[in-house]
Amino acid sequence: MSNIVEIGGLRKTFAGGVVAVQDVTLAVREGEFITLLGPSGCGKTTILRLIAGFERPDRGRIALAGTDVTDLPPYRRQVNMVFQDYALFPHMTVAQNVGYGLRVSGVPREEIGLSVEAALASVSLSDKAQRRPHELSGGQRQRVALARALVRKPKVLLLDEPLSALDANLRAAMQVELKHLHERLGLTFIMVTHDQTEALVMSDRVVVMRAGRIEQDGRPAELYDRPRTLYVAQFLGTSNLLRGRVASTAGGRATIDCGGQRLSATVDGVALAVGEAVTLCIRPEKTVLAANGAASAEHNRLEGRLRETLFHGSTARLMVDVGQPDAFAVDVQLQDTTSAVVLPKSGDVVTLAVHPRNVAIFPAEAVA
Amino acid sequence: MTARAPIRPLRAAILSLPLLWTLAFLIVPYLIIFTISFYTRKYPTHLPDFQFGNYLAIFQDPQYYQVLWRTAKIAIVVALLATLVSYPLAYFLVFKVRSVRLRAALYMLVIVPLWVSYLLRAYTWKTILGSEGILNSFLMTLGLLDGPSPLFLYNQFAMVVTLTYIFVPFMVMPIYTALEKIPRNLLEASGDLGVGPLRSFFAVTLPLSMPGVIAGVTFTFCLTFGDFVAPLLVGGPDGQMIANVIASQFGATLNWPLGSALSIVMLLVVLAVLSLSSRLDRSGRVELA
Repeated sequence: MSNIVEIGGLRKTFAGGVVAVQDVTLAVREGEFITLLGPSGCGKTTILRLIAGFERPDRGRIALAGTDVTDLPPYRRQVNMVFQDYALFPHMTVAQNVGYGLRVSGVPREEIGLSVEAALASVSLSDKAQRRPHELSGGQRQRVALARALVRKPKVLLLDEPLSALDANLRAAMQVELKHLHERLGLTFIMVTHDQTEALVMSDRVVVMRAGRIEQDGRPAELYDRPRTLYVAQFLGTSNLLRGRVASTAGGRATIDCGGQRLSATVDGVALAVGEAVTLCIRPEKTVLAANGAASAEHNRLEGRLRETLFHGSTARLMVDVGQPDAFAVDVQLQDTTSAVVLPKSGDVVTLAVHPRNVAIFPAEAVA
Repeated sequence: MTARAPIRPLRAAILSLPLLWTLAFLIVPYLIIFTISFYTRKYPTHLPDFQFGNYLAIFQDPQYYQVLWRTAKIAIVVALLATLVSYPLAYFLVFKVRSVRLRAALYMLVIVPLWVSYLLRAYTWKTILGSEGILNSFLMTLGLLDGPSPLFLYNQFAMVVTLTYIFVPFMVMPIYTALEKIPRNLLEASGDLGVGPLRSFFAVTLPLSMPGVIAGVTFTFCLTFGDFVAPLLVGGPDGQMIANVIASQFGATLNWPLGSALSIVMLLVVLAVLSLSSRLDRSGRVELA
């Protein structure tokens, strides 16, 4: 598969010297659904706006389907954007909004009519063609924005926080709908979001950004299971952080002393010195209660006192005091009520078990 | 209830003061004018009557309907010119001046003449356009004129120039506000959909700024239509407008019934323009959600 978008050495500074994007290089393969993920101000939206052409980079190049478009204005680039607040033209009907981008490109009138109809049908809004945007619900406006962008048959569809203005239920439904739309069209989608669930559910590839740089880039499962930095580990999903010092290293394993409790962790690639301060990161769902019998001899044991139990329906989250500043979260599946796992009570001493391969080690940096 | 009861008369008194003011200085005078417009003139005063002769005279005697027509013509030209000057100015301020502080400062510079006496500003044009004026001496310095030309002052041209200058701030204000309210991402969306800047302007910016243009045209037309000072200062003999004719009916000519009838006609024209404008504004109004 060839690269549809190639970004090289991109840098963008705004008035007042704020560096929004610094030296970002990224290649997007054709047909890929890629998500730029990060907190607000990390530069993700700026990258999208640079691709769309609303901003010009200070340095670096952007190529679209092999052609350098860095100096082209937005109206000469074959990309289309779904704006965060949709940016529908309030003085035009839904049909006029969708047909807007076709009228200028010299498409015959009848053909525009047909394209608009087809586009509206594809987002199930055929009956709303003559409405004005303000007469539609948020979800419907979102579909109009989508239809308006797709009707131009762009090479790349850019989505700027497309679901952030929708309520939770609709957002979950639209996540799946957008994913299916992507599969059906085979088009390249570049989405920007600060919502990790959205990124994990929808994308083929997630690019985690931090302060204008790419922190890590990979498939959702890869990022979740093998975060390269503490920042990524914390940003995606819930992580339990344990602070400690390296007690010993041997044969791809390191033993870490966390306030008296010793844990061993699989080390890949990172050179650790004995005595070095490190932060361990353990996912709540990769930890079990030793009392429930699923733990082998290889598992780490971690003792603590149960602070409270949070009931989530299908799971219960136990918050366990293990001598660290924050309580250690453990998720327990509650699948079968008859052979119910016996949940400890608050104040009970519990033993947690976690396999060394599920303990990630990061050099102790300032926790973001 | 008991606690509120004593306040009521006080509240009524407070509210009735502005009402009384309006009644005494607006409604009653209108009614008096309206009544007198049906009276018969009997030099040097008039007799109570109910006849339409004054109104008929306005539409039969060329000296009156021509003034009305001229006034309307000048008001239209001034509104048009003021739009042509103000729109690009407002557009420049809103879209081209990047610095917020500079934009606010320039906007203030456009508006600040409103704090200077209108009479003074109209008078300024007399000194610019007159035979001894700046324009003449400038053209003579350039060698374009041998001697001072009297052509610039005391005519309709001078009036249009003066009134346009005076009413530009009234036009810039609503257009500026309308342009400022247009979400920037609509223009980005237009560009994103392949539409160049010029077509984007006509398809998005202009339609969305129409409420401002309508408001400005209404202000300018109505203010010009009722103007009294510019004809007096820079208008000359063929520059009389309806307000001047009305003034003379109440003054030198001592024909109050005709003056009243002219006032009512003028009021009706202005009311017609206002209602047309509010109808246009309502039909063109869109939710900038």
